[in-house]
Amino acid sequence: MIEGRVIFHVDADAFFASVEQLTDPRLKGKPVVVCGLPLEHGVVTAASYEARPYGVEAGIPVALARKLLPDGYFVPVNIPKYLFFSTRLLSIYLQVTPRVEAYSVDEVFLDLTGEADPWCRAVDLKRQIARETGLTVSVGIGPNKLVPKIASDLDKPDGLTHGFAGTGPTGIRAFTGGTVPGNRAEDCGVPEGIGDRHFRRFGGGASGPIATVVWEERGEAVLGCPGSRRNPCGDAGPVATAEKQRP
Amino acid sequence: MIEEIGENVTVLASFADGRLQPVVFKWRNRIYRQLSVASSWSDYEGQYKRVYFSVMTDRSNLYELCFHTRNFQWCLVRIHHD
Repeated sequence: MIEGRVIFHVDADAFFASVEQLTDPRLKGKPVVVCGLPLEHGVVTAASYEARPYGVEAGIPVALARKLLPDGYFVPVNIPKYLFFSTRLLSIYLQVTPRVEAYSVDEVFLDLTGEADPWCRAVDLKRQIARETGLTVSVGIGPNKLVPKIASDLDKPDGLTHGFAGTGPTGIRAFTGGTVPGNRAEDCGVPEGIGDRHFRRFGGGASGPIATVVWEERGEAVLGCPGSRRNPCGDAGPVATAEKQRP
Repeated sequence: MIEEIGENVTVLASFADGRLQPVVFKWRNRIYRQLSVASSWSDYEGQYKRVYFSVMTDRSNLYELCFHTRNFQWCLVRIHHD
Protein backbone atom coordinates (compact mmCIF):
# COMPACT_ATOMS: atom_id res chain seq x y z
CA MET A 1 0.00 0.00 0.00
CA ILE A 2 1.42 3.35 -1.04
CA GLU A 3 1.12 6.16 1.48
CA GLY A 4 -0.41 9.37 0.20
CA ARG A 5 -2.04 10.09 -3.09
CA VAL A 6 -2.00 7.74 -6.06
CA ILE A 7 -2.78 9.45 -9.33
CA PHE A 8 -2.90 7.83 -12.77
CA HIS A 9 -2.41 9.74 -15.98
CA VAL A 10 -3.80 7.70 -18.85
CA ASP A 11 -2.94 8.77 -22.37
CA ALA A 12 -4.30 7.02 -25.44
CA ASP A 13 -1.47 6.26 -27.85
CA ALA A 14 -1.56 8.29 -31.09
CA PHE A 15 -5.29 8.45 -30.46
CA PHE A 16 -6.68 9.85 -33.72
CA ALA A 17 -4.38 7.71 -35.87
CA SER A 18 -5.09 4.61 -33.75
CA VAL A 19 -8.84 5.09 -34.15
CA GLU A 20 -8.36 5.34 -37.90
CA GLN A 21 -6.38 2.10 -37.87
CA LEU A 22 -9.05 0.50 -35.73
CA THR A 23 -11.91 1.45 -38.04
CA ASP A 24 -9.99 0.58 -41.21
CA PRO A 25 -8.09 -2.67 -40.60
CA ARG A 26 -6.18 -2.19 -43.83
CA LEU A 27 -4.28 0.64 -42.11
CA LYS A 28 -3.03 -1.50 -39.25
CA GLY A 29 0.76 -1.41 -39.06
CA LYS A 30 0.96 1.25 -41.77
CA PRO A 31 2.05 4.88 -41.51
CA VAL A 32 -1.17 6.85 -41.03
CA VAL A 33 -1.30 10.63 -41.09
CA VAL A 34 -4.46 12.36 -39.90
CA CYS A 35 -5.02 15.85 -41.26
CA GLY A 36 -7.76 18.24 -42.22
CA LEU A 37 -9.47 18.53 -45.57
CA PRO A 38 -8.33 19.10 -48.24
CA LEU A 39 -5.59 16.58 -47.64
CA GLU A 40 -2.92 18.76 -49.28
CA HIS A 41 -3.05 21.79 -46.98
CA GLY A 42 -2.87 22.67 -43.32
CA VAL A 43 -0.97 20.77 -40.67
CA VAL A 44 -0.82 17.21 -39.47
CA THR A 45 -3.24 16.54 -36.62
CA ALA A 46 -1.86 13.15 -35.63
CA ALA A 47 0.56 10.56 -36.91
CA SER A 48 0.68 6.86 -36.15
CA TYR A 49 3.81 5.40 -34.60
CA GLU A 50 4.66 3.86 -37.95
CA ALA A 51 4.83 7.35 -39.48
CA ARG A 52 6.99 8.93 -36.79
CA PRO A 53 10.36 7.43 -37.76
CA TYR A 54 10.01 9.43 -40.98
CA GLY A 55 9.84 12.67 -39.04
CA VAL A 56 6.10 13.03 -39.41
CA GLU A 57 4.42 14.27 -36.26
CA ALA A 58 1.50 16.44 -35.22
CA GLY A 59 1.90 20.08 -36.13
CA ILE A 60 4.10 19.84 -39.20
CA PRO A 61 2.72 21.06 -42.54
CA VAL A 62 0.90 18.42 -44.54
CA ALA A 63 2.98 19.34 -47.60
CA LEU A 64 6.14 18.53 -45.64
CA ALA A 65 4.63 15.30 -44.35
CA ARG A 66 3.90 14.25 -47.91
CA LYS A 67 7.51 14.87 -48.85
CA LEU A 68 8.81 12.95 -45.86
CA LEU A 69 6.36 10.13 -46.31
CA PRO A 70 5.14 9.94 -49.91
CA ASP A 71 3.73 6.45 -49.38
CA GLY A 72 1.87 7.38 -46.20
CA TYR A 73 -1.86 6.99 -45.74
CA PHE A 74 -3.35 10.45 -45.37
CA VAL A 75 -6.85 10.41 -43.89
CA PRO A 76 -9.15 13.29 -42.95
CA VAL A 77 -9.98 14.16 -39.37
CA ASN A 78 -13.24 12.62 -38.18
CA ILE A 79 -14.07 14.29 -34.88
CA PRO A 80 -17.39 12.49 -34.17
CA LYS A 81 -15.59 9.18 -34.51
CA TYR A 82 -12.87 10.23 -32.06
CA LEU A 83 -15.42 11.56 -29.60
CA PHE A 84 -17.25 8.24 -29.69
CA PHE A 85 -14.11 6.30 -28.79
CA SER A 86 -13.14 8.94 -26.25
CA THR A 87 -16.51 8.45 -24.54
CA ARG A 88 -16.03 4.69 -24.54
CA LEU A 89 -12.66 5.11 -22.85
CA LEU A 90 -14.23 7.46 -20.33
CA SER A 91 -16.90 4.89 -19.46
CA ILE A 92 -14.15 2.36 -18.73
CA TYR A 93 -12.28 4.82 -16.51
CA LEU A 94 -15.49 5.46 -14.59
CA GLN A 95 -15.72 1.74 -13.84
CA VAL A 96 -12.34 2.01 -12.15
CA THR A 97 -13.05 5.11 -10.07
CA PRO A 98 -15.58 7.95 -10.00
CA ARG A 99 -12.68 10.37 -9.48
CA VAL A 100 -11.90 10.99 -13.14
CA GLU A 101 -10.68 14.24 -14.64
CA ALA A 102 -10.99 14.40 -18.42
CA TYR A 103 -7.87 16.35 -19.29
CA SER A 104 -8.33 16.22 -23.05
CA VAL A 105 -10.06 14.08 -25.64
CA ASP A 106 -7.51 11.31 -25.10
CA GLU A 107 -6.05 11.97 -21.64
CA VAL A 108 -7.46 11.60 -18.15
CA PHE A 109 -6.31 11.74 -14.56
CA LEU A 110 -7.66 9.08 -12.21
CA ASP A 111 -7.42 9.44 -8.46
CA LEU A 112 -6.76 5.97 -7.07
CA THR A 113 -5.62 7.01 -3.64
CA GLY A 114 -6.04 4.09 -1.26
CA GLU A 115 -5.64 1.50 -3.99
CA ALA A 116 -3.79 -1.49 -2.53
CA ASP A 117 -1.87 -2.36 -5.70
CA PRO A 118 -1.87 0.49 -8.23
CA TRP A 119 0.51 -1.32 -10.55
CA CYS A 120 -1.79 -4.34 -10.96
CA ARG A 121 -4.76 -2.02 -11.27
CA ALA A 122 -3.05 -0.22 -14.11
CA VAL A 123 -2.21 -3.49 -15.86
CA ASP A 124 -5.86 -4.58 -15.55
CA LEU A 125 -7.04 -1.23 -16.87
CA LYS A 126 -4.77 -1.45 -19.90
CA ARG A 127 -6.00 -4.98 -20.62
CA GLN A 128 -9.63 -3.96 -20.30
CA ILE A 129 -9.17 -1.05 -22.68
CA ALA A 130 -7.42 -3.23 -25.24
CA ARG A 131 -10.12 -5.89 -24.96
CA GLU A 132 -13.13 -3.59 -25.14
CA THR A 133 -11.91 -0.94 -27.59
CA GLY A 134 -8.88 -2.35 -29.40
CA LEU A 135 -6.88 0.73 -28.39
CA THR A 136 -3.70 0.94 -26.35
CA VAL A 137 -2.94 3.50 -23.67
CA SER A 138 0.15 4.55 -21.76
CA VAL A 139 -0.21 4.96 -18.03
CA GLY A 140 1.85 7.04 -15.65
CA ILE A 141 1.43 6.69 -11.90
CA GLY A 142 2.59 9.20 -9.33
CA PRO A 143 1.84 11.09 -6.13
CA ASN A 144 0.37 14.11 -7.91
CA LYS A 145 -0.83 15.07 -11.37
CA LEU A 146 2.40 16.32 -12.87
CA VAL A 147 4.62 13.32 -12.23
CA PRO A 148 2.30 10.76 -13.88
CA LYS A 149 1.76 13.22 -16.73
CA ILE A 150 5.52 13.14 -17.32
CA ALA A 151 5.80 9.42 -16.63
CA SER A 152 3.14 8.34 -19.11
CA ASP A 153 5.18 9.92 -21.89
CA LEU A 154 8.34 8.00 -21.13
CA ASP A 155 7.39 4.58 -22.40
CA LYS A 156 5.03 5.00 -25.31
CA PRO A 157 3.19 3.26 -26.82
CA ASP A 158 1.44 0.85 -24.47
CA GLY A 159 3.66 1.82 -21.55
CA LEU A 160 3.31 1.73 -17.82
CA THR A 161 5.63 3.87 -15.72
CA HIS A 162 5.48 5.03 -12.14
CA GLY A 163 7.09 8.01 -10.55
CA PHE A 164 7.31 7.14 -6.90
CA ALA A 165 10.75 7.69 -5.46
CA GLY A 166 12.61 4.62 -4.33
CA THR A 167 10.07 2.13 -5.58
CA GLY A 168 12.31 -0.09 -7.59
CA PRO A 169 13.58 -0.55 -11.10
CA THR A 170 10.21 -0.24 -12.79
CA GLY A 171 9.95 3.43 -12.01
CA ILE A 172 11.39 6.38 -13.84
CA ARG A 173 14.84 6.18 -12.34
CA ALA A 174 16.48 6.44 -15.71
CA PHE A 175 14.59 9.55 -16.62
CA THR A 176 17.13 12.13 -17.64
CA GLY A 177 15.28 14.37 -20.02
CA GLY A 178 11.87 15.39 -18.95
CA THR A 179 9.02 17.43 -20.18
CA VAL A 180 7.46 19.76 -17.73
CA PRO A 181 4.41 21.35 -19.31
CA GLY A 182 4.43 25.09 -19.05
CA ASN A 183 7.93 25.47 -17.66
CA ARG A 184 11.37 25.97 -19.10
CA ALA A 185 14.47 24.20 -17.97
CA GLU A 186 16.19 27.35 -16.83
CA ASP A 187 13.17 28.45 -14.83
CA CYS A 188 13.54 25.59 -12.43
CA GLY A 189 17.29 25.24 -12.47
CA VAL A 190 17.49 21.96 -14.30
CA PRO A 191 21.11 20.90 -14.65
CA GLU A 192 22.62 21.73 -18.00
CA GLY A 193 21.94 19.23 -20.72
CA ILE A 194 18.89 17.74 -19.10
CA GLY A 195 15.75 18.04 -21.06
CA ASP A 196 16.56 21.32 -22.78
CA ARG A 197 15.06 20.22 -26.04
CA HIS A 198 11.83 19.16 -24.39
CA PHE A 199 11.60 22.25 -22.27
CA ARG A 200 12.01 24.45 -25.30
CA ARG A 201 9.37 22.50 -27.07
CA PHE A 202 6.85 23.47 -24.46
CA GLY A 203 8.06 27.06 -24.67
CA GLY A 204 6.17 29.52 -22.60
CA GLY A 205 8.30 30.95 -19.88
CA ALA A 206 8.08 30.92 -16.15
CA SER A 207 4.52 29.97 -15.47
CA GLY A 208 2.52 28.12 -12.91
CA PRO A 209 3.71 26.79 -9.63
CA ILE A 210 7.09 25.28 -8.96
CA ALA A 211 7.73 22.53 -11.47
CA THR A 212 8.21 18.98 -10.47
CA VAL A 213 11.08 17.37 -12.25
CA VAL A 214 12.14 13.79 -12.03
CA TRP A 215 15.71 12.99 -12.79
CA GLU A 216 18.39 10.63 -11.75
CA GLU A 217 20.65 11.74 -8.98
CA ARG A 218 23.18 9.47 -7.40
CA GLY A 219 21.36 6.51 -8.90
CA GLU A 220 18.04 7.30 -7.30
CA ALA A 221 14.95 8.87 -8.66
CA VAL A 222 14.35 12.27 -7.22
CA LEU A 223 11.03 14.02 -7.26
CA GLY A 224 10.93 17.74 -7.00
CA CYS A 225 12.28 20.87 -8.55
CA PRO A 226 16.07 21.05 -8.65
CA GLY A 227 17.26 24.00 -6.68
CA SER A 228 14.11 24.13 -4.66
CA ARG A 229 12.85 21.34 -2.48
CA ARG A 230 10.05 23.38 -1.02
CA ASN A 231 7.48 21.53 -3.05
CA PRO A 232 8.94 18.10 -3.67
CA CYS A 233 5.67 16.67 -4.86
CA GLY A 234 4.84 19.42 -7.30
CA ASP A 235 1.28 19.93 -8.40
CA ALA A 236 -0.95 19.22 -5.43
CA GLY A 237 -4.11 20.10 -7.32
CA PRO A 238 -7.02 17.69 -6.98
CA VAL A 239 -8.30 15.45 -9.73
CA ALA A 240 -11.19 17.61 -10.86
CA THR A 241 -14.16 15.41 -11.63
CA ALA A 242 -17.00 16.69 -13.79
CA GLU A 243 -19.02 17.48 -10.66
CA LYS A 244 -16.25 19.63 -9.26
CA GLN A 245 -15.87 21.47 -12.55
CA ARG A 246 -19.51 22.57 -12.61
CA PRO A 247 -20.11 26.12 -11.39
CA MET B 1 -7.82 7.48 -51.68
CA ILE B 2 -11.07 8.57 -50.06
CA GLU B 3 -14.11 9.29 -52.18
CA GLU B 4 -16.93 11.22 -50.56
CA ILE B 5 -20.29 9.80 -51.70
CA GLY B 6 -23.21 10.92 -49.49
CA GLU B 7 -25.86 8.93 -51.35
CA ASN B 8 -28.77 6.99 -49.92
CA VAL B 9 -28.47 3.23 -50.30
CA THR B 10 -30.66 0.21 -49.69
CA VAL B 11 -29.42 -2.01 -46.91
CA LEU B 12 -30.44 -5.38 -45.57
CA ALA B 13 -29.51 -5.44 -41.89
CA SER B 14 -29.69 -7.85 -39.02
CA PHE B 15 -30.88 -7.01 -35.54
CA ALA B 16 -29.39 -9.69 -33.31
CA ASP B 17 -28.06 -9.78 -29.76
CA GLY B 18 -29.03 -6.16 -29.33
CA ARG B 19 -26.85 -5.12 -32.23
CA LEU B 20 -27.59 -3.66 -35.62
CA GLN B 21 -25.39 -4.82 -38.46
CA PRO B 22 -25.58 -4.24 -42.20
CA VAL B 23 -25.43 -7.48 -44.17
CA VAL B 24 -25.97 -6.48 -47.80
CA PHE B 25 -26.24 -3.09 -49.49
CA LYS B 26 -27.18 -1.92 -52.93
CA TRP B 27 -25.62 1.16 -54.46
CA ARG B 28 -26.01 2.34 -58.06
CA ASN B 29 -27.70 -0.92 -59.03
CA ARG B 30 -24.80 -2.97 -57.73
CA ILE B 31 -25.21 -5.31 -54.81
CA TYR B 32 -22.46 -5.63 -52.22
CA ARG B 33 -22.72 -8.86 -50.24
CA GLN B 34 -20.82 -10.64 -47.50
CA LEU B 35 -20.16 -7.48 -45.58
CA SER B 36 -17.76 -7.75 -42.72
CA VAL B 37 -18.11 -4.98 -40.18
CA ALA B 38 -14.70 -3.67 -39.16
CA SER B 39 -15.96 -1.14 -36.65
CA SER B 40 -18.91 1.00 -35.71
CA TRP B 41 -19.44 4.26 -33.89
CA SER B 42 -22.20 6.77 -33.45
CA ASP B 43 -22.98 10.41 -32.96
CA TYR B 44 -26.06 12.61 -32.66
CA GLU B 45 -27.65 15.09 -35.00
CA GLY B 46 -29.87 16.92 -32.57
CA GLN B 47 -31.90 14.29 -30.77
CA TYR B 48 -31.37 11.71 -33.50
CA LYS B 49 -28.67 9.11 -33.34
CA ARG B 50 -26.57 8.24 -36.36
CA VAL B 51 -24.80 4.92 -36.35
CA TYR B 52 -21.78 4.49 -38.60
CA PHE B 53 -20.29 1.25 -39.84
CA SER B 54 -17.03 0.69 -41.66
CA VAL B 55 -17.58 -2.43 -43.72
CA MET B 56 -15.53 -4.47 -46.14
CA THR B 57 -16.63 -6.82 -48.85
CA ASP B 58 -14.54 -9.49 -50.45
CA ARG B 59 -13.11 -6.69 -52.53
CA SER B 60 -10.39 -4.47 -51.19
CA ASN B 61 -12.35 -1.27 -50.59
CA LEU B 62 -13.75 -0.11 -47.27
CA TYR B 63 -17.22 1.46 -47.23
CA GLU B 64 -18.55 3.79 -44.57
CA LEU B 65 -22.30 3.37 -44.08
CA CYS B 66 -24.51 5.50 -41.85
CA PHE B 67 -27.93 4.65 -40.41
CA HIS B 68 -29.89 7.74 -39.45
CA THR B 69 -32.60 7.17 -36.84
CA ARG B 70 -34.50 10.31 -37.87
CA ASN B 71 -35.79 8.72 -41.06
CA PHE B 72 -34.42 5.18 -40.81
CA GLN B 73 -32.40 5.90 -43.91
CA TRP B 74 -29.06 4.36 -44.79
CA CYS B 75 -26.41 6.40 -46.51
CA LEU B 76 -23.09 5.51 -48.11
CA VAL B 77 -20.93 8.25 -46.67
CA ARG B 78 -17.59 7.56 -48.33
CA ILE B 79 -15.43 4.89 -49.85
CA HIS B 80 -11.85 4.28 -48.81
CA HIS B 81 -10.25 2.91 -51.95
CA ASP B 82 -7.30 0.59 -51.68
